[in-house]
Amino acid sequence: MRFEATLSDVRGKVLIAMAEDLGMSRSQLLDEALALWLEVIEGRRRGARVVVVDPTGDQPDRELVTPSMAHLDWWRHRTDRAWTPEQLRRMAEVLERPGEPAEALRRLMAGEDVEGPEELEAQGIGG
Amino acid sequence: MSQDDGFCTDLMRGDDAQTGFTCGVRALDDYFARHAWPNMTRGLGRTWVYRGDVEAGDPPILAFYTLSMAAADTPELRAHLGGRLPRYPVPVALLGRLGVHVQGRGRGTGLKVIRDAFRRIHAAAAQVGCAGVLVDAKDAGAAAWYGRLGFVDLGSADWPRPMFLPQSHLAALPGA
Repeated sequence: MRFEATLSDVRGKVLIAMAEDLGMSRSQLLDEALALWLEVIEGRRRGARVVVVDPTGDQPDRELVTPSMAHLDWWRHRTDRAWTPEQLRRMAEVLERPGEPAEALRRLMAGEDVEGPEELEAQGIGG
Repeated sequence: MSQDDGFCTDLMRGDDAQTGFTCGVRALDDYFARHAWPNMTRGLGRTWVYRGDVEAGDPPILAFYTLSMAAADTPELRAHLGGRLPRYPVPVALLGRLGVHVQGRGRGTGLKVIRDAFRRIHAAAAQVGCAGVLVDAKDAGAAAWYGRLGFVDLGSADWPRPMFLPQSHLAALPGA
């Protein structure tokens, strides 16, 4: 099977250099890298972690996390909700035309005074 | 840990549950005492706490909030957005519960806690992708307040009522 992909120049040069260094073809290198990545993703789906262990034991273990791995974590721990078609339609409208941030939100995030929810604190906000 | 002008929250610990947190809403107090920590250990969300200055007379926990992920059904959304969405469900951050201790009221604690939550959501969105923030407004007063922040009522006849803030609003603000 032939597969095409677009890489950045930097990543492409690294790949070519690594293939030469390891005495592998680019296809062999990508095949091995993909096999490892598939194992990582399948493990992550089960909650496994990828950790680099320093051979000397002098350095602490380092956990490797990529955006897609973090996404899987969030997805695995998601809260199931039931959505109505109307709710999804409204959400789609907001995503399509999000508009500008509200002035109250601007003030809130800037640390400025906003007409506060003190009266709501007594009830628990949104809880 | 998150810090902002001396305000900081950190993750709930197991012994926080028994500190007698009281916000006046029995359901929230009960959730914090009995369910927040077990849910943390099961990975069903994260509970962040704002600790009080006990030596100054504050309770150990002045406020808490919970964050978790929910997902919007992509086929339904894609039908509305013309296929411009990924094939997996769209992740949204759920600000599920927020409580302020009775001794923490009147200090702007609720605002600080919500700002802290928005910053965490914005930071997480940069890592994993997130379409926006979802809250369940418990009544008309809460809905009006969230509405002033730009949350859009997703339309429901009942309370609590889901409201949604697109992530792009947080991304557009320098303080996020």
